[in-house]
Amino acid sequence: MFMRKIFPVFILCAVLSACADPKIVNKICLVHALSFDTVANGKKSTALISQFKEKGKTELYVLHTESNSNLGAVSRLNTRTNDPLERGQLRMALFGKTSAEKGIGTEIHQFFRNPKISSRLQLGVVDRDASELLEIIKKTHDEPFFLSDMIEQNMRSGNLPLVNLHVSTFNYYGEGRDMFLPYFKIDHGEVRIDGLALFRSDKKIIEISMKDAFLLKMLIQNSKNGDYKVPVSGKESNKQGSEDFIVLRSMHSKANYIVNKVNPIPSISIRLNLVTELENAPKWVDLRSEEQLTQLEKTMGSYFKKEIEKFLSLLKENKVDPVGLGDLVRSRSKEWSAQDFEKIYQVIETSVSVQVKIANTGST
Amino acid sequence: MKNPVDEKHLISPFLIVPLMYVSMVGVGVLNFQRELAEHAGYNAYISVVLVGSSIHLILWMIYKILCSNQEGLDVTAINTTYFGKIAGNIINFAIVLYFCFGAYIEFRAYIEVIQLWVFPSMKILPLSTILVLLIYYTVSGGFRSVTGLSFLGLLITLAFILPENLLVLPYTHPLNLMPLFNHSITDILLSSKSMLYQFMGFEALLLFYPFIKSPTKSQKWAHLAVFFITLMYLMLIINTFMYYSEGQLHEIFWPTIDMLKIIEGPVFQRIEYLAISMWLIKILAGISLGLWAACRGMKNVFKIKPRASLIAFLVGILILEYFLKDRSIIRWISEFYSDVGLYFIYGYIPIMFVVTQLRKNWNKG
Repeated sequence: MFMRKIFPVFILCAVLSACADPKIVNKICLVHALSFDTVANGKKSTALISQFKEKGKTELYVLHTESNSNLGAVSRLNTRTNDPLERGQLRMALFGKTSAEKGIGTEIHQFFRNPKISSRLQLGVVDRDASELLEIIKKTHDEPFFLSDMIEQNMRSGNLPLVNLHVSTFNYYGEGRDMFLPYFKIDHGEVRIDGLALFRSDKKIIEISMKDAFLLKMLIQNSKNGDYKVPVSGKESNKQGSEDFIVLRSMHSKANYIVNKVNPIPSISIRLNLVTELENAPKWVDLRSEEQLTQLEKTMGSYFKKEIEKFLSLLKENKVDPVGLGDLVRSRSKEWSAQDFEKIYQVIETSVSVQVKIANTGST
Repeated sequence: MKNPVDEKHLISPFLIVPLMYVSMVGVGVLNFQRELAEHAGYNAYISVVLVGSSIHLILWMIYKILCSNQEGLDVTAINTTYFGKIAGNIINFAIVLYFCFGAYIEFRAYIEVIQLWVFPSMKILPLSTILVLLIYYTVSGGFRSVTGLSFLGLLITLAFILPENLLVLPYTHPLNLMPLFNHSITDILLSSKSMLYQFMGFEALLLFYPFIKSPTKSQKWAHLAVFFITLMYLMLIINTFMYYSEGQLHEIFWPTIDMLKIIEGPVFQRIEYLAISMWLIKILAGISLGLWAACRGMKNVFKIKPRASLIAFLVGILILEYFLKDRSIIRWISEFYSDVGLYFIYGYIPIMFVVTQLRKNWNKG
């Protein structure tokens, strides 16, 4: 009796699954990376595509298409393949330098609204035509996820702050904050992450180095695993007049923001706590002496303070706000408008203080 | 207290928890954040608390109404005794239609989610026919099978709502919630109206009350369920507000599903397909409960066999689903439904409460 009742349910559930189009892995082409460039007579889109051959074996292709708009790039690319293109495995979207400077809002909007695209999609800017980068990846690495893995690796164990499609759209659509994306450079036929490209609205304004990327990472999140080089000059080293360096690795950091006043010109103090591990120190520093370590902590603290102040004034000069200072002020004021804040952004007062603590001096 | 329903159809008092859950958590939980934020911005979580507490009050009234008679009757019988046969039955028929439309709207919304997220090219008719057959199977099994499905629905949806909230925590910005109060009371009340729309459906209690074994004992469970559901909505909306910046939230239609896109599992790269499929069970339970209430009402009012009215309702849903494609009409229907629900919950129930209490005192005097 029970079986007779439950049986139709199973049958019906099985029938349900037959209503959809089947998509079998060796009957489709997966798009792993897309790139968008601006060329003389319109826009060029390039896709890195893989076709599944047999277990553990896929073949990579690079396809190009040109048109006057980037919309519908995938459907145009579809006219060049024998199997339908699927975007579900898209991991990387690249923008050429000129197209990033002209604005990438429509593309970002497209990705954001498409339910097939993962929020973990990585976006990036290339220092020349982005299609070149895809060609290089195909030629040298033959690995579809190379670029996105490279970014993720650098977020986990490097200076890159956490970025992906979700973070970028959070910054792009959110008021009082601006977007930043990883910046790729090609030299001698090799790819490397050179830093971050900072945007105002959807247009790229400046790029910053990996060193400054660490400062940004410290300002917006825990900078764990990032590393930084601090010049120190001790009495002993003065002889040659050359500078020695300390290479430090961040173990933990936290930024505290205090809004002192909101009107008429906001004033913000930023307090940073940084716990570090010394990876490398000049010979003359005695790492067993408490006194010298405290001295070192102070030197590093004031160096960071100077660098962050320099970094913040660079941001203000270019009117970009990747740190989200506008959002911070918004959260402390009853009335706030993005337009009004933009006008005073260049003159807001920021003061920085950095507490460095050396937790680990390495094996020496 | 004598119960008119046969012992073998009754359910334990605590099983009211899954029933309340499936009726109060609908497809709306996948996108209510956006509509709430439209008026009160990121202060909208206050509306959730407001509506949640008001529902506690309404629930207390419902229990008072239903306890006012000794025979454990449902609301249809109470209507006919208090308003006479004709007026009472008109109200009863309105209640039947209300539940029926509630079920249709839920059905429609779920099909829309499937089409948008899982199978964009799937045809509506075969899909909805199969769903309708599943619903027929559940409802014709009687109240206990509806309860059983609701219980499954509760377990299955909790299995993904709670982990979802934990897994997006690394991406949240608590600063988004500040400043705490920068919207007017009017805005917050407007948001509360769309929040009430999410909670609509729990009035089915008015009809299934006689099916609970020792009904008065179920009151504490019902309140517990409402408290828990409010808490869940609150957690979800606060998490959503911290996860999305306000401008970003304006751009998306299904925030709860969209949030799942950030989660990556060891086997599943994308969880949302799994989540939407599991959601099917809860949706079926919610629709079944609504239709069961409608059929029960038809039986009490017009003495029509539940099976016959069930088939009529389901065919009606199929026809509406297939022929009604104009989005503006659909929008109008759901807005009308939500207005009716507002008056039903905040108008009809308090009035009934007053009427039954007066009558009770009158009889005593």
